[in-house]
Amino acid sequence: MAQEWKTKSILIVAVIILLIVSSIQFYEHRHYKMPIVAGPGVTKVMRLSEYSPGLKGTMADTDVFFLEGKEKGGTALIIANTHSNEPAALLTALVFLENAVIDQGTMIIIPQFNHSGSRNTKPGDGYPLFFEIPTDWGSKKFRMGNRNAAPLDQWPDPDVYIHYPDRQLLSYLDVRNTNRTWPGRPDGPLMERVTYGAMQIMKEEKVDVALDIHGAETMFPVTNCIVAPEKSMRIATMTSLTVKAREGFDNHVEPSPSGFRGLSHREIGDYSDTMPFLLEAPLPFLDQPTGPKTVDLLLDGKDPFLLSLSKKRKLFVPYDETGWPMSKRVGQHCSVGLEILRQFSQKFPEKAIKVRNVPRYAEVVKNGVGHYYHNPKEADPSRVFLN
Amino acid sequence: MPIIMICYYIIGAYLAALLIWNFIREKKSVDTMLQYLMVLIPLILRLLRIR
Repeated sequence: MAQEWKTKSILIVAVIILLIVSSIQFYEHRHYKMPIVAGPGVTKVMRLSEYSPGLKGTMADTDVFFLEGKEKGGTALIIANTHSNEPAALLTALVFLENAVIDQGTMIIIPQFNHSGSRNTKPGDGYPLFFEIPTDWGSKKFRMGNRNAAPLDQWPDPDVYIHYPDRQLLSYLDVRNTNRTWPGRPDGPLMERVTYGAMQIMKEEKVDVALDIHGAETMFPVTNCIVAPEKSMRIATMTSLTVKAREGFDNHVEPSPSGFRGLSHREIGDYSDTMPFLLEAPLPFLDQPTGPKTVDLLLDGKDPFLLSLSKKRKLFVPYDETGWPMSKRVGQHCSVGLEILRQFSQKFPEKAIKVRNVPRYAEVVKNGVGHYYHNPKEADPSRVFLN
Repeated sequence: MPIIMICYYIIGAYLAALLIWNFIREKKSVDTMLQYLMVLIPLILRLLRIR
């Protein structure tokens, strides 16, 4: 009896230590605030809850940055971290946010769209909690997030997610996936309120172009591409051809399937006047047959198993010993985003959106992503936003 | 708090009580004792509402 309770006591103490250590790590991750330095183009910052009041006071509420040009023109919306485990999106949005100057029109940027998703991770898959990007002044620390919102913020999940308003049956997990809950509703589950907020921005601010930035597995056919519905197809095709000819990288066009509901490139096009584009860059970290999910794999995309599969032609993107470094992915997103805006401005000159001071592919690859981030310690505190 | 959440907390507390009871009743297997405690962790965190 005494031996039994001695063993049990040791086990209880060991599990309590484990509980405390892991709780502290998860708590620090969930509550870490990443500084964003508002660049010269940022004119005002709002909260998504101002467009979707059901988000007020929740972990899903997030900052919305406005960059307004002096000359009137069209309006573009950039949405990043729809899936917070695809961090090239956030890094690209920050390159725009911290550097862009708008000469004509308006740019709206939501850098952490699924704010709740950025505050949980996948410990079961061995995901890192944080990653750091080297900059000219040190390193910038980011939270590594998850594809779906945290169950701490939206729970319980249904057995099956019934999409609103089409009533298509989707996976239960998709109720927390902000790329399945479009167009959303003001009083639905939390993630539907997030997408509803973005739809309201598009309607109230008369957004012409919406870019939803993602990353996808190299073994998934919808990668390294622009996904576009019918009404965005011409501009997407012109963009794809132009970046290939001028900048030398592939970024093919995929049609948005009309029968698959809840996706941004489908619902934004169907439920608003905005032209949506979903940008995908390869993300080897998400592939299943890789080595450990380390920060190195996340940032440089080098993996021996993917290299072996590439030699057997099992990947949908070119892949060699150089992997798919973050600078390449962010550079592609920057160039494709800028080219979409340029093509749109050429087609609709009265609604032109003219952006400068944002690097293109070759510059980001040469200088690295961190070169374009500013030191929050040296910035005017009123221009630093903790997110 | 919606009724469904209250139900989930009650279910969570019930499962936690079952695990504790089984942990107390287990006499020999250290592996089984450890498993009860490990499974208990997320339930405890949920009941304590640690976020």
